[in-house]
Amino acid sequence: MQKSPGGPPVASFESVSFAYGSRKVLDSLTLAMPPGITALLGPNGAGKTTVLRLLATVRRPDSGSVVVLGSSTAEHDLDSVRSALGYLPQDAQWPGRLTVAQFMQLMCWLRKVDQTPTRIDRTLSDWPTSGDGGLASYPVVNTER
Amino acid sequence: MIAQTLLHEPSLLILDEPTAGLDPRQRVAVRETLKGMRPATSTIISTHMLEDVADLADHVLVLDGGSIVFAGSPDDLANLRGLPGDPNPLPCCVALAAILAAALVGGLLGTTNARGLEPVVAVVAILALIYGVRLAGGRTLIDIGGVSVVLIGVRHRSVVTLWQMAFYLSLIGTLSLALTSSWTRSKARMVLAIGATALVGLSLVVAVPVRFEGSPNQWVCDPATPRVCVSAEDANRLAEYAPAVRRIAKVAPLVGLETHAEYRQTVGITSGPGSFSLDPALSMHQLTFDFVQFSVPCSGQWGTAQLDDADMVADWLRAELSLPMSVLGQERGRPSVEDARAALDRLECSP
Repeated sequence: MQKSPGGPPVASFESVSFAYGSRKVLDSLTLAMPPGITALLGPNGAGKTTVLRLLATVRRPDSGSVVVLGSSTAEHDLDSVRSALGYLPQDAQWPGRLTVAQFMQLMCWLRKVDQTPTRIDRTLSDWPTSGDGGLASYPVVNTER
Repeated sequence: MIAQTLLHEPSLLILDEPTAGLDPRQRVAVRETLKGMRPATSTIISTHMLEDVADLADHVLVLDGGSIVFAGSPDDLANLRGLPGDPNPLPCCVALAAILAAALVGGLLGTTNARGLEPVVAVVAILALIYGVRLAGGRTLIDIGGVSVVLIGVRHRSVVTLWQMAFYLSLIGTLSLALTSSWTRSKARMVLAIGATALVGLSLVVAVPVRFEGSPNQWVCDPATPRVCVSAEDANRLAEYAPAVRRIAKVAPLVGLETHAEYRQTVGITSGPGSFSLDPALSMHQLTFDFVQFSVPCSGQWGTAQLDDADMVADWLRAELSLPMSVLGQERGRPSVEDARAALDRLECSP
Protein backbone atom coordinates (compact mmCIF):
# COMPACT_ATOMS: atom_id res chain seq x y z
CA MET A 1 0.00 0.00 0.00
CA GLN A 2 1.36 3.36 -0.94
CA LYS A 3 1.97 5.71 1.88
CA SER A 4 -0.75 8.26 1.79
CA PRO A 5 0.25 11.88 1.46
CA GLY A 6 -0.22 13.93 4.56
CA GLY A 7 -1.73 17.36 4.89
CA PRO A 8 -5.01 18.93 5.85
CA PRO A 9 -8.22 17.14 4.90
CA VAL A 10 -9.49 17.74 1.37
CA ALA A 11 -13.04 17.59 2.65
CA SER A 12 -14.76 17.50 6.02
CA PHE A 13 -18.21 17.30 7.55
CA GLU A 14 -19.06 18.89 10.88
CA SER A 15 -22.32 17.69 12.48
CA VAL A 16 -23.98 17.38 9.10
CA SER A 17 -27.63 16.33 8.98
CA PHE A 18 -29.58 15.73 5.81
CA ALA A 19 -33.01 14.36 5.00
CA TYR A 20 -34.87 13.59 1.80
CA GLY A 21 -38.28 14.87 2.87
CA SER A 22 -39.14 13.09 6.10
CA ARG A 23 -36.50 10.38 5.59
CA LYS A 24 -33.42 11.30 7.57
CA VAL A 25 -30.28 10.01 5.85
CA LEU A 26 -27.47 11.66 7.81
CA ASP A 27 -27.76 12.61 11.45
CA SER A 28 -25.04 14.85 12.84
CA LEU A 29 -22.28 13.20 10.81
CA THR A 30 -18.73 14.38 11.42
CA LEU A 31 -15.86 13.13 9.28
CA ALA A 32 -12.64 14.21 7.59
CA MET A 33 -11.24 12.92 4.33
CA PRO A 34 -7.44 13.14 4.11
CA PRO A 35 -5.54 13.71 0.84
CA GLY A 36 -5.13 10.63 -1.32
CA ILE A 37 -7.78 8.13 -2.33
CA THR A 38 -10.64 7.54 0.08
CA ALA A 39 -13.13 4.73 -0.48
CA LEU A 40 -16.63 4.87 0.94
CA LEU A 41 -18.07 1.45 1.69
CA GLY A 42 -21.39 0.45 3.12
CA PRO A 43 -24.67 -1.28 2.31
CA ASN A 44 -27.21 0.28 -0.01
CA GLY A 45 -29.02 3.09 1.75
CA ALA A 46 -26.12 3.74 4.14
CA GLY A 47 -25.76 7.33 2.91
CA LYS A 48 -22.73 7.01 0.59
CA THR A 49 -24.32 8.74 -2.37
CA THR A 50 -25.72 11.48 -0.14
CA VAL A 51 -22.25 12.15 1.27
CA LEU A 52 -20.88 12.45 -2.27
CA ARG A 53 -23.73 14.74 -3.36
CA LEU A 54 -23.03 17.03 -0.43
CA LEU A 55 -19.32 17.03 -1.29
CA ALA A 56 -20.06 17.79 -4.93
CA THR A 57 -22.24 20.76 -3.80
CA VAL A 58 -25.20 19.23 -5.61
CA ARG A 59 -27.03 19.27 -2.28
CA ARG A 60 -26.72 21.43 0.79
CA PRO A 61 -26.91 20.08 4.32
CA ASP A 62 -30.01 20.75 6.44
CA SER A 63 -27.67 21.62 9.29
CA GLY A 64 -23.95 21.48 10.00
CA SER A 65 -21.15 22.48 7.67
CA VAL A 66 -19.48 20.85 4.67
CA VAL A 67 -16.00 22.11 3.82
CA VAL A 68 -14.52 21.10 0.45
CA LEU A 69 -10.96 22.09 -0.49
CA GLY A 70 -10.95 24.61 2.31
CA SER A 71 -14.17 26.35 1.28
CA SER A 72 -17.50 26.06 3.02
CA THR A 73 -20.23 24.93 0.65
CA ALA A 74 -22.61 27.25 2.48
CA GLU A 75 -21.02 30.19 0.67
CA HIS A 76 -23.08 31.97 -1.92
CA ASP A 77 -20.59 31.69 -4.79
CA LEU A 78 -19.71 28.05 -5.38
CA ASP A 79 -18.10 28.53 -8.81
CA SER A 80 -14.52 28.49 -7.57
CA VAL A 81 -14.88 25.30 -5.56
CA ARG A 82 -16.96 23.61 -8.27
CA SER A 83 -14.34 24.37 -10.91
CA ALA A 84 -11.86 22.33 -8.85
CA LEU A 85 -14.19 19.32 -8.59
CA GLY A 86 -14.76 16.40 -10.93
CA TYR A 87 -18.03 14.62 -10.21
CA LEU A 88 -19.39 11.35 -11.55
CA PRO A 89 -22.97 10.89 -10.33
CA GLN A 90 -24.34 7.40 -9.86
CA ASP A 91 -27.50 7.95 -11.85
CA ALA A 92 -26.44 10.43 -14.50
CA GLN A 93 -28.53 10.86 -17.64
CA TRP A 94 -26.47 11.95 -20.64
CA PRO A 95 -27.39 13.44 -24.00
CA GLY A 96 -28.00 10.72 -26.57
CA ARG A 97 -26.69 10.32 -30.13
CA LEU A 98 -23.26 11.78 -29.36
CA THR A 99 -19.97 10.05 -29.92
CA VAL A 100 -17.59 9.99 -27.01
CA ALA A 101 -15.48 12.72 -28.68
CA GLN A 102 -18.55 14.94 -29.18
CA PHE A 103 -19.64 14.33 -25.62
CA MET A 104 -16.19 15.27 -24.34
CA GLN A 105 -16.32 18.46 -26.42
CA LEU A 106 -19.64 19.29 -24.83
CA MET A 107 -18.20 18.71 -21.36
CA CYS A 108 -15.16 20.86 -22.23
CA TRP A 109 -17.53 23.66 -23.22
CA LEU A 110 -19.55 23.25 -20.02
CA ARG A 111 -16.32 23.20 -18.02
CA LYS A 112 -14.95 26.22 -19.92
CA VAL A 113 -11.75 24.40 -20.80
CA ASP A 114 -9.77 24.03 -23.99
CA GLN A 115 -11.67 21.86 -26.52
CA THR A 116 -8.68 20.80 -28.58
CA PRO A 117 -8.63 17.19 -29.70
CA THR A 118 -5.24 16.81 -28.01
CA ARG A 119 -6.68 17.32 -24.56
CA ILE A 120 -9.55 14.96 -25.25
CA ASP A 121 -7.28 12.34 -26.80
CA ARG A 122 -4.92 12.57 -23.87
CA THR A 123 -7.76 12.02 -21.45
CA LEU A 124 -9.06 9.01 -23.40
CA SER A 125 -5.71 7.52 -24.35
CA ASP A 126 -5.42 5.09 -21.45
CA TRP A 127 -8.89 3.67 -21.90
CA PRO A 128 -8.97 0.08 -23.18
CA THR A 129 -11.38 -0.67 -26.03
CA SER A 130 -12.35 -3.89 -27.71
CA GLY A 131 -12.46 -2.64 -31.33
CA ASP A 132 -10.61 -0.57 -33.90
CA GLY A 133 -10.96 3.15 -34.44
CA GLY A 134 -10.43 4.32 -30.85
CA LEU A 135 -12.85 5.14 -28.11
CA ALA A 136 -13.57 8.65 -29.41
CA SER A 137 -15.75 7.34 -32.25
CA TYR A 138 -17.93 5.22 -29.96
CA PRO A 139 -21.48 6.36 -29.26
CA VAL A 140 -22.21 7.42 -25.69
CA VAL A 141 -24.52 4.89 -24.09
CA ASN A 142 -26.26 5.76 -20.88
CA THR A 143 -25.52 2.44 -19.26
CA GLU A 144 -21.75 2.75 -19.84
CA ARG A 145 -19.37 4.51 -17.49
CA MET B 1 -18.49 9.26 -18.39
CA ILE B 2 -15.54 8.95 -16.05
CA ALA B 3 -13.28 10.71 -18.55
CA GLN B 4 -15.40 13.86 -18.47
CA THR B 5 -14.56 14.30 -14.80
CA LEU B 6 -10.83 14.51 -15.64
CA LEU B 7 -10.96 17.04 -18.52
CA HIS B 8 -10.37 20.11 -16.37
CA GLU B 9 -7.70 18.47 -14.20
CA PRO B 10 -9.63 18.84 -10.94
CA SER B 11 -8.13 18.94 -7.46
CA LEU B 12 -10.82 16.69 -6.04
CA LEU B 13 -12.59 13.86 -7.85
CA ILE B 14 -15.91 12.61 -6.50
CA LEU B 15 -16.89 9.33 -8.15
CA ASP B 16 -20.06 7.46 -7.26
CA GLU B 17 -19.43 3.77 -8.01
CA PRO B 18 -17.04 4.47 -10.89
CA THR B 19 -16.19 0.84 -11.60
CA ALA B 20 -19.76 -0.48 -11.63
CA GLY B 21 -20.55 -2.04 -14.99
CA LEU B 22 -16.96 -2.10 -16.25
CA ASP B 23 -15.12 -5.18 -17.44
CA PRO B 24 -11.93 -6.21 -15.58
CA ARG B 25 -9.54 -4.49 -18.00
CA GLN B 26 -11.48 -1.26 -17.77
CA ARG B 27 -11.52 -1.48 -13.98
CA VAL B 28 -7.76 -1.82 -13.97
CA ALA B 29 -7.51 1.16 -16.33
CA VAL B 30 -9.72 3.30 -14.10
CA ARG B 31 -7.75 2.34 -11.02
CA GLU B 32 -4.42 3.01 -12.70
CA THR B 33 -5.67 6.39 -13.90
CA LEU B 34 -6.79 7.37 -10.43
CA LYS B 35 -3.54 6.19 -8.89
CA GLY B 36 -1.56 8.11 -11.50
CA MET B 37 -3.31 11.31 -10.50
CA ARG B 38 -1.91 11.24 -6.99
CA PRO B 39 -0.83 13.40 -5.25
CA ALA B 40 -2.09 16.40 -7.25
CA THR B 41 -5.65 15.09 -7.25
CA SER B 42 -7.43 13.53 -4.31
CA THR B 43 -10.27 11.15 -4.99
CA ILE B 44 -13.32 10.07 -3.05
CA ILE B 45 -15.16 7.06 -4.44
CA SER B 46 -18.12 5.09 -3.25
CA THR B 47 -17.97 1.45 -4.18
CA HIS B 48 -19.19 -2.05 -3.53
CA MET B 49 -16.10 -3.46 -5.27
CA LEU B 50 -13.79 -4.63 -2.53
CA GLU B 51 -10.92 -5.12 -4.95
CA ASP B 52 -11.07 -1.37 -5.59
CA VAL B 53 -10.57 -0.87 -1.90
CA ALA B 54 -7.78 -3.43 -1.62
CA ASP B 55 -5.93 -2.11 -4.65
CA LEU B 56 -6.64 1.58 -4.71
CA ALA B 57 -7.64 3.19 -1.47
CA ASP B 58 -5.37 4.96 0.99
CA HIS B 59 -8.25 5.35 3.40
CA VAL B 60 -11.56 3.60 3.92
CA LEU B 61 -14.73 4.91 5.49
CA VAL B 62 -17.57 2.49 6.07
CA LEU B 63 -20.98 4.07 6.42
CA ASP B 64 -24.02 2.36 7.84
CA GLY B 65 -27.30 4.04 8.63
CA GLY B 66 -25.76 7.45 7.97
CA SER B 67 -22.99 6.95 10.52
CA ILE B 68 -19.31 6.17 10.16
CA VAL B 69 -18.75 2.68 11.55
CA PHE B 70 -15.15 2.37 10.43
CA ALA B 71 -12.37 4.74 9.46
CA GLY B 72 -8.90 3.43 8.71
CA SER B 73 -6.63 1.92 6.09
CA PRO B 74 -7.59 -1.02 3.85
CA ASP B 75 -5.10 -3.13 5.81
CA ASP B 76 -6.84 -2.22 9.05
CA LEU B 77 -10.13 -3.26 7.48
CA ALA B 78 -8.72 -6.51 6.13
CA ASN B 79 -7.27 -7.42 9.51
CA LEU B 80 -10.39 -6.51 11.40
CA ARG B 81 -11.84 -9.43 13.28
CA GLY B 82 -14.63 -8.11 15.41
CA LEU B 83 -12.97 -5.65 17.74
CA PRO B 84 -14.45 -4.12 20.85
CA GLY B 85 -15.76 -0.68 21.54
CA ASP B 86 -13.39 -0.07 24.41
CA PRO B 87 -10.29 1.62 23.00
CA ASN B 88 -8.22 1.04 26.13
CA PRO B 89 -6.39 -2.30 26.13
CA LEU B 90 -6.08 -2.35 29.93
CA PRO B 91 -9.78 -3.03 30.70
CA CYS B 92 -9.69 -5.83 28.13
CA CYS B 93 -6.85 -7.53 29.96
CA VAL B 94 -8.44 -6.93 33.35
CA ALA B 95 -11.74 -8.29 32.05
CA LEU B 96 -10.08 -11.39 30.63
CA ALA B 97 -8.18 -11.99 33.88
CA ALA B 98 -11.42 -11.54 35.85
CA ILE B 99 -13.21 -14.01 33.60
CA LEU B 100 -10.58 -16.68 34.03
CA ALA B 101 -10.29 -16.08 37.79
CA ALA B 102 -14.05 -16.17 38.30
CA ALA B 103 -14.42 -19.34 36.27
CA LEU B 104 -11.53 -20.94 38.15
CA VAL B 105 -12.91 -19.98 41.57
CA GLY B 106 -16.34 -21.18 40.48
CA GLY B 107 -14.82 -24.48 39.44
CA LEU B 108 -12.85 -24.88 42.68
CA LEU B 109 -15.87 -24.04 44.83
CA GLY B 110 -17.82 -26.61 42.87
CA THR B 111 -15.51 -29.28 44.22
CA THR B 112 -15.66 -28.17 47.86
CA ASN B 113 -18.37 -28.04 50.48
CA ALA B 114 -18.54 -24.26 50.84
CA ARG B 115 -22.32 -24.37 50.98
CA GLY B 116 -24.33 -21.27 50.24
CA LEU B 117 -21.55 -19.51 48.37
CA GLU B 118 -21.28 -21.57 45.24
CA PRO B 119 -24.44 -20.29 43.46
CA VAL B 120 -23.29 -16.70 43.98
CA VAL B 121 -19.78 -17.38 42.74
CA ALA B 122 -21.08 -19.43 39.84
CA VAL B 123 -23.50 -16.70 38.76
CA VAL B 124 -20.70 -14.12 38.96
CA ALA B 125 -18.48 -16.42 36.92
CA ILE B 126 -21.09 -16.85 34.21
CA LEU B 127 -21.93 -13.13 34.06
CA ALA B 128 -18.24 -12.28 33.97
CA LEU B 129 -17.86 -14.68 31.08
CA ILE B 130 -20.75 -13.16 29.16
CA TYR B 131 -19.90 -9.51 29.63
CA GLY B 132 -16.16 -9.76 30.07
CA VAL B 133 -15.49 -11.86 27.02
CA ARG B 134 -17.75 -9.61 25.04
CA LEU B 135 -15.74 -6.65 26.26
CA ALA B 136 -12.57 -8.41 25.17
CA GLY B 137 -14.06 -8.56 21.72
CA GLY B 138 -14.01 -11.05 18.92
CA ARG B 139 -16.24 -13.54 17.26
CA THR B 140 -19.74 -14.17 18.52
CA LEU B 141 -20.10 -17.57 20.15
CA ILE B 142 -23.42 -17.38 21.90
CA ASP B 143 -26.21 -14.88 21.73
CA ILE B 144 -28.79 -14.97 24.50
CA GLY B 145 -31.46 -12.33 24.30
CA GLY B 146 -29.17 -9.85 22.58
CA VAL B 147 -26.29 -10.47 24.99
CA SER B 148 -23.49 -11.88 22.92
CA VAL B 149 -20.55 -13.93 24.05
CA VAL B 150 -17.65 -13.32 21.73
CA LEU B 151 -14.11 -14.64 21.77
CA ILE B 152 -10.95 -13.45 20.09
CA GLY B 153 -9.31 -15.11 17.15
CA VAL B 154 -11.10 -18.43 17.21
CA ARG B 155 -10.33 -20.17 13.95
CA HIS B 156 -11.06 -23.83 14.56
CA ARG B 157 -14.72 -24.73 14.64
CA SER B 158 -14.12 -27.77 16.85
CA VAL B 159 -12.63 -25.52 19.54
CA VAL B 160 -15.59 -23.20 19.24
CA THR B 161 -17.95 -26.15 19.65
CA LEU B 162 -16.07 -27.40 22.72
CA TRP B 163 -16.11 -23.91 24.19
CA GLN B 164 -19.85 -23.70 23.65
CA MET B 165 -20.39 -27.11 25.25
CA ALA B 166 -18.34 -26.05 28.29
CA PHE B 167 -20.32 -22.85 28.51
CA TYR B 168 -23.65 -24.67 28.55
CA LEU B 169 -22.31 -27.20 31.02
CA SER B 170 -21.38 -24.38 33.38
CA LEU B 171 -24.74 -22.75 32.85
CA ILE B 172 -26.58 -25.98 33.66
CA GLY B 173 -24.44 -26.48 36.77
CA THR B 174 -25.12 -22.95 37.93
CA LEU B 175 -28.87 -23.19 37.41
CA SER B 176 -28.95 -26.54 39.16
CA LEU B 177 -27.11 -25.12 42.17
CA ALA B 178 -29.37 -22.13 42.34
CA LEU B 179 -32.71 -23.82 41.76
CA THR B 180 -32.67 -27.43 42.88
CA SER B 181 -32.97 -29.08 46.24
CA SER B 182 -29.96 -30.17 48.25
CA TRP B 183 -29.78 -33.83 47.16
CA THR B 184 -28.85 -32.90 43.59
CA ARG B 185 -26.27 -30.31 44.60
CA SER B 186 -23.33 -32.66 44.63
CA LYS B 187 -24.04 -33.60 41.01
CA ALA B 188 -24.55 -29.97 40.08
CA ARG B 189 -21.25 -29.04 41.70
CA MET B 190 -19.53 -31.69 39.66
CA VAL B 191 -21.10 -30.44 36.43
CA LEU B 192 -20.11 -26.86 37.27
CA ALA B 193 -16.58 -27.90 38.17
CA ILE B 194 -16.11 -29.76 34.88
CA GLY B 195 -17.69 -26.96 32.82
CA ALA B 196 -15.82 -24.10 34.47
CA THR B 197 -12.47 -25.88 34.33
CA ALA B 198 -13.01 -26.67 30.67
CA LEU B 199 -13.89 -23.02 30.05
CA VAL B 200 -10.67 -21.86 31.66
CA GLY B 201 -8.61 -24.35 29.74
CA LEU B 202 -10.27 -23.73 26.40
CA SER B 203 -10.11 -19.98 26.85
CA LEU B 204 -6.36 -20.28 27.28
CA VAL B 205 -6.10 -22.64 24.32
CA VAL B 206 -7.96 -20.36 21.95
CA ALA B 207 -6.52 -17.11 23.21
CA VAL B 208 -2.83 -17.74 23.68
CA PRO B 209 -1.87 -19.16 20.25
CA VAL B 210 -3.48 -16.26 18.48
CA ARG B 211 -1.19 -13.91 20.27
CA PHE B 212 2.01 -15.82 19.80
CA GLU B 213 1.56 -17.10 16.26
CA GLY B 214 1.63 -13.59 14.89
CA SER B 215 -1.73 -14.23 13.31
CA PRO B 216 -3.32 -11.45 11.26
CA ASN B 217 -6.25 -11.77 13.63
CA GLN B 218 -5.64 -8.99 16.02
CA TRP B 219 -5.28 -9.58 19.70
CA VAL B 220 -7.11 -6.74 21.30
CA CYS B 221 -5.07 -6.76 24.49
CA ASP B 222 -1.75 -6.43 22.71
CA PRO B 223 -0.79 -2.75 22.83
CA ALA B 224 1.98 -3.33 20.27
CA THR B 225 -0.53 -4.16 17.55
CA PRO B 226 -2.08 -1.20 15.78
CA ARG B 227 -5.75 -1.42 16.38
CA VAL B 228 -8.92 0.05 15.08
CA CYS B 229 -11.56 0.35 17.72
CA VAL B 230 -15.23 0.23 16.91
CA SER B 231 -18.23 -0.87 18.90
CA ALA B 232 -18.90 -4.61 19.20
CA GLU B 233 -22.12 -4.18 17.22
CA ASP B 234 -20.30 -2.40 14.42
CA ALA B 235 -17.52 -4.95 14.52
CA ASN B 236 -19.91 -7.71 13.60
CA ARG B 237 -21.15 -5.73 10.62
CA LEU B 238 -17.61 -4.95 9.56
CA ALA B 239 -16.65 -8.57 9.86
CA GLU B 240 -18.66 -9.05 6.68
CA TYR B 241 -16.04 -7.09 4.77
CA ALA B 242 -12.84 -8.37 6.29
CA PRO B 243 -12.82 -11.93 4.87
CA ALA B 244 -13.48 -10.66 1.36
CA VAL B 245 -10.61 -8.19 1.44
CA ARG B 246 -8.33 -10.88 2.82
CA ARG B 247 -9.38 -13.35 0.12
CA ILE B 248 -8.69 -10.87 -2.62
CA ALA B 249 -5.17 -10.45 -1.30
CA LYS B 250 -4.74 -14.23 -1.63
CA VAL B 251 -5.23 -14.12 -5.38
CA ALA B 252 -1.89 -12.45 -6.14
CA PRO B 253 0.22 -15.47 -5.18
CA LEU B 254 -2.33 -17.73 -6.86
CA VAL B 255 -1.43 -16.31 -10.25
CA GLY B 256 2.29 -16.16 -9.57
CA LEU B 257 2.65 -12.49 -8.76
CA GLU B 258 4.04 -12.18 -5.32
CA THR B 259 4.10 -8.48 -4.69
CA HIS B 260 1.17 -6.21 -4.49
CA ALA B 261 2.78 -3.69 -6.87
CA GLU B 262 3.29 -6.29 -9.59
CA TYR B 263 -0.18 -7.63 -9.09
CA ARG B 264 -1.67 -4.19 -9.32
CA GLN B 265 0.10 -3.40 -12.58
CA THR B 266 -0.32 -6.64 -14.44
CA VAL B 267 -3.34 -8.51 -13.20
CA GLY B 268 -6.83 -7.22 -12.97
CA ILE B 269 -9.22 -9.06 -10.79
CA THR B 270 -12.83 -8.62 -10.01
CA SER B 271 -15.34 -10.56 -8.06
CA GLY B 272 -18.40 -12.27 -9.38
CA PRO B 273 -21.84 -11.96 -7.88
CA GLY B 274 -21.17 -11.86 -4.18
CA SER B 275 -23.34 -13.63 -1.71
CA PHE B 276 -23.88 -13.45 1.99
CA SER B 277 -23.98 -16.76 3.77
CA LEU B 278 -24.74 -17.44 7.38
CA ASP B 279 -22.37 -19.59 9.34
CA PRO B 280 -24.67 -21.00 12.04
CA ALA B 281 -21.80 -22.26 14.20
CA LEU B 282 -20.32 -18.80 14.47
CA SER B 283 -23.53 -16.76 14.23
CA MET B 284 -21.72 -14.53 11.78
CA HIS B 285 -22.29 -13.46 8.22
CA GLN B 286 -19.51 -14.11 5.76
CA LEU B 287 -19.17 -12.45 2.41
CA THR B 288 -18.22 -14.99 -0.22
CA PHE B 289 -17.72 -14.73 -3.93
CA ASP B 290 -19.14 -17.12 -6.45
CA PHE B 291 -16.22 -16.61 -8.78
CA VAL B 292 -13.35 -14.31 -9.59
CA GLN B 293 -12.19 -13.04 -12.92
CA PHE B 294 -8.54 -12.81 -13.84
CA SER B 295 -7.11 -10.51 -16.43
CA VAL B 296 -3.61 -10.92 -17.86
CA PRO B 297 -2.90 -7.81 -19.92
CA CYS B 298 0.09 -9.29 -21.77
CA SER B 299 -2.31 -11.62 -23.52
CA GLY B 300 -5.25 -9.26 -23.49
CA GLN B 301 -7.42 -12.07 -22.20
CA TRP B 302 -9.31 -12.66 -19.07
CA GLY B 303 -11.21 -15.50 -17.55
CA THR B 304 -13.22 -16.72 -14.64
CA ALA B 305 -12.35 -19.15 -11.90
CA GLN B 306 -13.47 -20.22 -8.51
CA LEU B 307 -11.36 -18.67 -5.83
CA ASP B 308 -9.05 -21.24 -4.22
CA ASP B 309 -9.96 -23.80 -6.87
CA ALA B 310 -6.83 -24.94 -8.66
CA ASP B 311 -8.75 -27.04 -11.19
CA MET B 312 -10.75 -24.09 -12.40
CA VAL B 313 -7.69 -21.86 -12.58
CA ALA B 314 -5.88 -24.50 -14.57
CA ASP B 315 -8.86 -25.03 -16.88
CA TRP B 316 -9.03 -21.35 -17.53
CA LEU B 317 -5.33 -21.03 -18.21
CA ARG B 318 -5.51 -23.94 -20.63
CA ALA B 319 -8.57 -22.68 -22.45
CA GLU B 320 -7.91 -18.96 -22.54
CA LEU B 321 -4.16 -18.86 -22.88
CA SER B 322 -3.82 -22.03 -25.01
CA LEU B 323 -1.29 -23.48 -22.62
CA PRO B 324 -0.51 -27.15 -23.33
CA MET B 325 -1.73 -29.69 -20.82
CA SER B 326 1.83 -30.73 -20.00
CA VAL B 327 2.67 -27.24 -18.85
CA LEU B 328 -0.10 -27.52 -16.32
CA GLY B 329 1.17 -30.85 -15.04
CA GLN B 330 -1.78 -32.79 -16.38
CA GLU B 331 0.34 -35.90 -16.81
CA ARG B 332 0.81 -35.94 -13.04
CA GLY B 333 -2.90 -35.86 -12.53
CA ARG B 334 -4.67 -32.96 -10.90
CA PRO B 335 -3.10 -29.60 -11.76
CA SER B 336 -2.12 -27.69 -8.66
CA VAL B 337 -1.99 -24.02 -7.85
CA GLU B 338 1.80 -24.31 -8.11
CA ASP B 339 1.45 -25.66 -11.65
CA ALA B 340 -0.78 -22.77 -12.59
CA ARG B 341 1.64 -20.33 -11.02
CA ALA B 342 4.62 -21.85 -12.79
CA ALA B 343 2.73 -21.75 -16.09
CA LEU B 344 2.03 -18.09 -15.67
CA ASP B 345 5.66 -17.44 -14.78
CA ARG B 346 6.67 -18.93 -18.12
CA LEU B 347 4.34 -16.68 -20.08
CA GLU B 348 6.28 -14.19 -22.12
CA CYS B 349 4.72 -10.79 -22.48
CA SER B 350 5.69 -9.12 -25.72
CA PRO B 351 5.40 -5.36 -25.69
